[in-house]
Amino acid sequence: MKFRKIHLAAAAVFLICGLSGGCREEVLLPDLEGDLVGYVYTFDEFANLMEDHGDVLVSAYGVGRVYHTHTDVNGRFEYKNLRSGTYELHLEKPGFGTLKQLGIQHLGGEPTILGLNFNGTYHTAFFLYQMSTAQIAYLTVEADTISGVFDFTGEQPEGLYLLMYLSNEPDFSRQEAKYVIYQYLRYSNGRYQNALQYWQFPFETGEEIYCRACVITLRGSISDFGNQRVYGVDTYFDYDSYLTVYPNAGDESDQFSFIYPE
Amino acid sequence: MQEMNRTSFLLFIRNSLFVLFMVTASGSLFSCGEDPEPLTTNSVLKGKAYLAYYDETGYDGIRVLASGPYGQTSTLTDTYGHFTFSGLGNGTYFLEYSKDGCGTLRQYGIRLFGYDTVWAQEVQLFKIPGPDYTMPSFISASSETIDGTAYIIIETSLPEASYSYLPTMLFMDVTSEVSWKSYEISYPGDLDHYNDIYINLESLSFKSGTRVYVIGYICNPLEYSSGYLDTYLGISLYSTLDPSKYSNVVSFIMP
Repeated sequence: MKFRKIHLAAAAVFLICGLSGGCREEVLLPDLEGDLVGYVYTFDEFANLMEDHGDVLVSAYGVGRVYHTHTDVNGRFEYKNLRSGTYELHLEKPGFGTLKQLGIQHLGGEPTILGLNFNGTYHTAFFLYQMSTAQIAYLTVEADTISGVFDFTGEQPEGLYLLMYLSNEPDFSRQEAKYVIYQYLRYSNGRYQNALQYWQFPFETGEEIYCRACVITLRGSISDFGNQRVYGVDTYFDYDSYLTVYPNAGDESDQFSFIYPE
Repeated sequence: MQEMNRTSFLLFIRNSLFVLFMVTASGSLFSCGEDPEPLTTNSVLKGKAYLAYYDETGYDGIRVLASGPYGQTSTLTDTYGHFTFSGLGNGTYFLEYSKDGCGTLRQYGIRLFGYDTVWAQEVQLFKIPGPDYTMPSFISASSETIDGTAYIIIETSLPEASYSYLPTMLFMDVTSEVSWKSYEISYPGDLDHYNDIYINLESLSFKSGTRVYVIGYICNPLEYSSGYLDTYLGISLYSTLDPSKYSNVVSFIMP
């Protein structure tokens, strides 16, 4: 009698555990997992390559969950046994602009490798830059030359880049900018200056052009892995504002204007 | 007697049902965690692998191993070096290329979404230097101009009168910790002039006045421009390099 009660109790326990606990976890299809590996390079605010690319926080936003990892000193990061799906990556480090990348497809199985190619053609990696601390004190355009004065917290660079937003309407928003250019200025005679490439501008001769600018420096590419070229992924498109985001762009200057010359 | 037979039968039924309950419950409890099932099984993966030197046996016979979420499968290249995997399930794969006497390469990150035909990049395999090769010592490194061409000359411990082939890869960096794992420039170092190794200065991009450290390893110098990138580890590899056969480190000042 006692043995029969034990029999029944054991059967009931097993059945309850099996039905309620066995497959409680939500099953997504496809139910693959795999490692995801990527590479990050870090730069100072003037796009000089840093030696230590470690401690960049990489967050992967997936279906209902967020995963975190950090880069090692070589800039490599890895997620182990990440569930398959499409992810949004956020790469951030204190003092650096936060880079986002959407649409990272991870199928699962063997490792997904972001950016690097087996045969050395067109490698890409994430480039993270320190936020610009340079302040624009004064900017002007006279004839075909743009010139400016800047305040730096650290060493003064030989040259710098400006991201210039242009419009023929005053007080335009960034979305309303008619043209955006990436302009290099070289230090000479107490100020930074260079020629403007007017032939690219979609404006009429004699038009008053309004401009706002911010200091930004992008590297483009570096050499690594034994003289192989690695191109930087350093911007992203924001689908809410429909703007290309430059994570390390400095503060915008006040609006100024100039006349589009002949 | 009949009563006893009926009781035994009922006991048998009860015990059988109990066992059935246990099996069913165990199956429900442990059924999660089975091997994944592919959503699609119709992807095709094609590629080409060939030897960097002509072998009298032709280009066929290179083993290509495909490793993915549902296991591994392998095939051999045909006479032209071509291979095909059919009926693969969706997921990410890597390919491993190997042949006796040659270095082994791995190609990561090949993604099959289903209903697709994917072309893996062409791959070259290189012959591993024979076991009889040993790395001589490096005695010195100095700069010299010969017939208008500037060289860095590495003197080795090989006898001066000898002329022999030495399959070597040189690795250079600005730190004495230079190795095949950590370097700035690699250079094929097979002997050109008896016991010395000549490096054309135009190939070096170090700044003038920089002290440069050099180490050599036994390696097929044909791999020089084709050393492959292990994209999982993030390091350049030479598939024919023997990490146990290396020279001492010497240095020179970049002219």
